[in-house]
Amino acid sequence: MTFSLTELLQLLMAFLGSLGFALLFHTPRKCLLTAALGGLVSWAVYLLTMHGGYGYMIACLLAGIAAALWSEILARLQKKPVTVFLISAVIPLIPGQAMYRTMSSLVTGDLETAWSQGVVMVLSMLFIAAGTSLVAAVSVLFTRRSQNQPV
Amino acid sequence: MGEALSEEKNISYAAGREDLLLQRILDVGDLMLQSGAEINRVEDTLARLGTAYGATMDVYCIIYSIVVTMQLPDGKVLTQTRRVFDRDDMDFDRLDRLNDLSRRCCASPMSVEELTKELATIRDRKESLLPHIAGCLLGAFAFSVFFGGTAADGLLAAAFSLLIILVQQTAGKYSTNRIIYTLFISLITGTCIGAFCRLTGSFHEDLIMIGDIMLLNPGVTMVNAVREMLVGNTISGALRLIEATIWAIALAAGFMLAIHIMGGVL
Repeated sequence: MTFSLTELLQLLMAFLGSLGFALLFHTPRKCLLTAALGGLVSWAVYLLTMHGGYGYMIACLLAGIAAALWSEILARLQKKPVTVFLISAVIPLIPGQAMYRTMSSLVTGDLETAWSQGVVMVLSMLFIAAGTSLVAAVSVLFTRRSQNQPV
Repeated sequence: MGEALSEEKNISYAAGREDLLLQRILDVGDLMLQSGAEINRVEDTLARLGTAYGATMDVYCIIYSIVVTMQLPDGKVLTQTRRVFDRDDMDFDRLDRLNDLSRRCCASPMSVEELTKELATIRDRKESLLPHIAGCLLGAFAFSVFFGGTAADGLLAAAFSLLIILVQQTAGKYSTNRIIYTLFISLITGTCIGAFCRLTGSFHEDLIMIGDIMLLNPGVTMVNAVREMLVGNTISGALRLIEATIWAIALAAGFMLAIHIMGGVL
């Protein structure tokens, strides 16, 4: 399975966009690159799932899981809080376009599009959150085992 | 037996000033929440901090408030609460420093003075505006192109993100109401983008707007809120979600108004 040229450009932009937000949120310097790579990873998973013929909901779920896994692993490797990586990794998945379309179709009075885009927006966010919290739940199980470690 | 001995040794770092110690512990939680930490993480850190000083801890935290009850080894019980104000500046560097501080403090408890000093350094640290500007430019450009814009659209989105920074740095300082403020900033940004695109007529207005919307978008907050609910912090998650939804509506209303105005005028 290969990415088309547009998708490669999207992946690059997912990386740059995540880097932008990582800067915006004062991510510690040595984590900037890995935090931004998280955005690329999650978007790659999203695209691959869509290639596989699944809908955007499954794609959001799996991409959310990928983003959270990436963050959990990097948090342990670089000894930083998970949030530092997770926020940047999730950014490209945020349905900005669906939000815009919901809005603009409300202005033009096209309620049908507004509704369908609104549903896409809400469900996308729900499934991203579900994916990330799934990983969080599992990782809590693992940390409980080694409870004696500080923070 | 050995455990009890070491506990008594630890509390001696704050002997007689346990109330001050508790205040400092609340400071840590307060700053963590403001920097964008997860609820579980804050509760966990505060409990560990108190335990390191030999106390038995009972911590409850929601996004606006922290309640800590500390039972000291000598049987004394202290309770303090803290109202947490949301200042909307996610700061992972500060979060990292707080994490580091509490990790060190758990490993070997500090005196109250030392803890106060370290916390003041973290709180008063000033970040330069440069990474913020770079982040905005990069974010706006990348997401405008990401959603299908041309390079020119991306550059314009980046240029208009400077307008957002300008408003944030001027009007933002006087903002007392996040909803009105969001409405204001999105109305200004939307109107300027709309006017520019109608006048030049050669750019994709929608894609430029999307790039800048992403910067103001409470989408991340929403995803985080749902996540909080799913991991069991229902109250915090629900509060945040309602808040973020209201901000999103204000944001949408601002841009909608801008599109509407532009549709009528030009």
